[in-house]
Amino acid sequence: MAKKVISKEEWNARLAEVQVDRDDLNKLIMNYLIIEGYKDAAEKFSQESGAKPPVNLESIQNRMVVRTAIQRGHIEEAIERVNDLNPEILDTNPKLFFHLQQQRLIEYIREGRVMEALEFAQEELAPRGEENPEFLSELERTMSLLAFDLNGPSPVSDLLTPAQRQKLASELNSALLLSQSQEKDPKLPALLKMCWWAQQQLDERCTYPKIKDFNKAELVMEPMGAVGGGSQGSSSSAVAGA
Amino acid sequence: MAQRENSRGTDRLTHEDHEADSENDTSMVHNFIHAVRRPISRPPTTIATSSSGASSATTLTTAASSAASATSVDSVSSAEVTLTRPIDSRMSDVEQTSLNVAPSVRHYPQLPLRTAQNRASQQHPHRQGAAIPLPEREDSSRTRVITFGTLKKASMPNRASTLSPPSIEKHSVEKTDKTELSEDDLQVRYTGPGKADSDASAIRANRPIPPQCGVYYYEILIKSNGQQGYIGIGACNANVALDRLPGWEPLSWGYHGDDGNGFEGCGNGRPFGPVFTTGDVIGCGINFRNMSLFYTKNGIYLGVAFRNLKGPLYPTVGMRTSGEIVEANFGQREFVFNIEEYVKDEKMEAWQSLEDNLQKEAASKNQVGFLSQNLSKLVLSYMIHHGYSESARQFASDLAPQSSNQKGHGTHGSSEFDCASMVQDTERRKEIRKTILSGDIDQALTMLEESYPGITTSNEDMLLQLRCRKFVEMVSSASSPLRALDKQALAKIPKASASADVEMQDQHEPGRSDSAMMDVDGKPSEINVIVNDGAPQLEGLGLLKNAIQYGQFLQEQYKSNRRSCVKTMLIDAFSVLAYSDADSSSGLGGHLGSKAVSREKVASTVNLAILASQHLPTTAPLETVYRQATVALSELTRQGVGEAAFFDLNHDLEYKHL
Repeated sequence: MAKKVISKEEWNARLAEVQVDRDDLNKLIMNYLIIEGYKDAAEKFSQESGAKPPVNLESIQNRMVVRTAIQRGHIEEAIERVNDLNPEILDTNPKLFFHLQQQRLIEYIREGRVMEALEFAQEELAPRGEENPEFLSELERTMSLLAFDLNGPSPVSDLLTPAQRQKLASELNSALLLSQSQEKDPKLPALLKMCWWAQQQLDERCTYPKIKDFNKAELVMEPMGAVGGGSQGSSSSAVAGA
Repeated sequence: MAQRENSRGTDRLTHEDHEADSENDTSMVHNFIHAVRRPISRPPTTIATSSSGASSATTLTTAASSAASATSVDSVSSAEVTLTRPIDSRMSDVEQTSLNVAPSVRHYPQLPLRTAQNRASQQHPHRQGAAIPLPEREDSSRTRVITFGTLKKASMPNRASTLSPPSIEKHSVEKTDKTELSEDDLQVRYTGPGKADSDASAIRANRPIPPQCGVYYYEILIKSNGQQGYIGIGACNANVALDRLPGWEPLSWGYHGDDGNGFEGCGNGRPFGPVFTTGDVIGCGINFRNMSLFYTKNGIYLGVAFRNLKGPLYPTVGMRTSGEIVEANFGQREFVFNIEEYVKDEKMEAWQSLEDNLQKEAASKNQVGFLSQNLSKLVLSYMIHHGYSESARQFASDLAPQSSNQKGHGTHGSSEFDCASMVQDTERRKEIRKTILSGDIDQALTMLEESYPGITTSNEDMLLQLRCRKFVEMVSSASSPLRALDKQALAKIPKASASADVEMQDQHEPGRSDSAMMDVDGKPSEINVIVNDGAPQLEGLGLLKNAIQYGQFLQEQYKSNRRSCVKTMLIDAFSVLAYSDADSSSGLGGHLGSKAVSREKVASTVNLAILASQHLPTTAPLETVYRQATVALSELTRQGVGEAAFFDLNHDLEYKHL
């Protein structure tokens, strides 16, 4: 059965009909910045866009400090900060704590401190891995970093990307928000997820201009029977990343 | 009840909306949501007084609207039930009766928001019973009087009507004789012999439930168990014989009160739930996310009875022994079961399954934070696109803080967020925009050429727009000092269009031709100003001279251009001369708008031209994602994907409450 094809023209016409309210999007951005703890950016954004921050920006200061520490690779500092804020957070969240320790290990490896990395893995991480098989496989994956050239491509090179730190920073941020009984999920990811989901569902049913690379959000019409045809150009290379 | 209807009505969207939209509306999901908030003005559903006994049919409809007959994810829809039945032999006209296979519970979507007229009619449901009998799309009026004749006609073209196969037609009269409607429009009473299984009679809605509703729910109150309580409740397809209880036939699913069994396409049931009898309220819900059917009893969830249902599905109720009476609640009253809670749970499930899929996808791509890693970039590009440059700079540095001990893949920071040049570009665009918004078009033109050489020559329309704006600005700046003068005298000024002997002064325009006559309306006339003493008016006159001179230049430049949009733009610009106050003029100047609006328009044209010249997207990627999500979801809905109902941009993003 041939799939229905929705032409680029028709699709574009539909896209053009969608009302997008700049204020609404600004609010989404603001919500994202605040929940993710980007205090300075939220402040600037509030000034420039006129979007009002729904909370006192000072209240996100602590979270921002923790986030910055993680993003800089200063994991120990982040752990100390979190424990200062609320020691229960890490006590009650072994998975998060494991991820922090894992990141510490990654940072050791990144810095070429191999002996320390091994020691740390054996003393701190391995015992936790024994408790939880999921942790163990993550630990093994992390350790395999040692087997590859850090600067070259490898199956585990994603662990060295900023995205890995960001993911951890977000996880920790969510835990902090939860401990402050604040809303923990920004709304913006939901938008992306819905878009992704709707496209996935639609893929089974018809051919239409699709967003393949969510960074650039360029619409690509899938050529019949081909995967990632010429029209896509370089747009997917960015997302492939590391 | 009427009060409740009114208040809840605003929160509901109905199937009718939904279904109708699904065919034509490109932004269905959107409408779906908006419908919740905006008043819908549609032709009121005319409620025709049901024809009385004389008309040979008792047609009763519940104009159900309130609590939601059908529950869709965000909007619990309302529905209408029309129960029709021929009551006397005068209806034996085969053609007519054939279409009314049996008394049918007609369910269909309805408007969420009632017009006043409609509301009023609902307050007297007994007086005015019937509503839309068959809302097939062909009928635009949605207004029908229900009699048998019209009903028949209406059903004819309906793609999924109860247009019956011949075998059923034969029995239709018999079957309709086995049930009877009560006066309050909602009750169905079994009146057949009730001796054997062949005496069964089912009632079916004449219209399928649109899967786009996500979850559909209705309740049946057992008013009387009758002799045996052989009552079946469920759903079936269009062509299922109606002389059988729900579930006995293929493509039919039913839960029976006498034994509590669930029947799925055959006469042998299997144990499902408790028996039910007089006084019980049985709820029947269809979940289009996974095509399952669940039941409730007296507000208690009994669980999923059937899976893998196949549509199109119609609500159905069947009875078999005498004295059985049931009453339907399609949402005209509050449901006993908390369907809203159920929908909420389902929605969470839908999100969970989305998240699971996402995890799988991320794992298969071996990407950490698939999607979420795009987020920060979308935010950044959004800021850059809209010229929030300080925010962009700050956010970029927040994302990739300089790290002393970063080695290895440290290059990522710069390559992914190499936004220094973009921010710079943003700043330039912002400056140009600011300049245009301040009205200094000359300065903006200079800046444009400096920052983006060649852009004005390669964008004729943009250049013309800027020039026209410049002209308007010139006239406008001339008019304010002049206005300070005798207003009566001034009133004449703008009527003038040109003067032949204006001194040329202060020409900014590069490459302008020399003085040329400008003729707006074919009749050059003199500026007829009563010049009083005083500086302001002299200044004003000087400015006006300049403006007119510039106008002449424009006229000359574009006189050979035959493109209609060019002419339109010029005429629009020159029309400001007709007003004493160039920008605050309303009237004809409506297309010019206020000063701020017209400047903004020019600024936005320029911004887009710059973006295009830099090969940057003209829409912020985040906005494209938003549009894409909206359109993709509505396309899914249009294609009848029930699960799409669980994802709702407006509701899920809740930015209204941020």
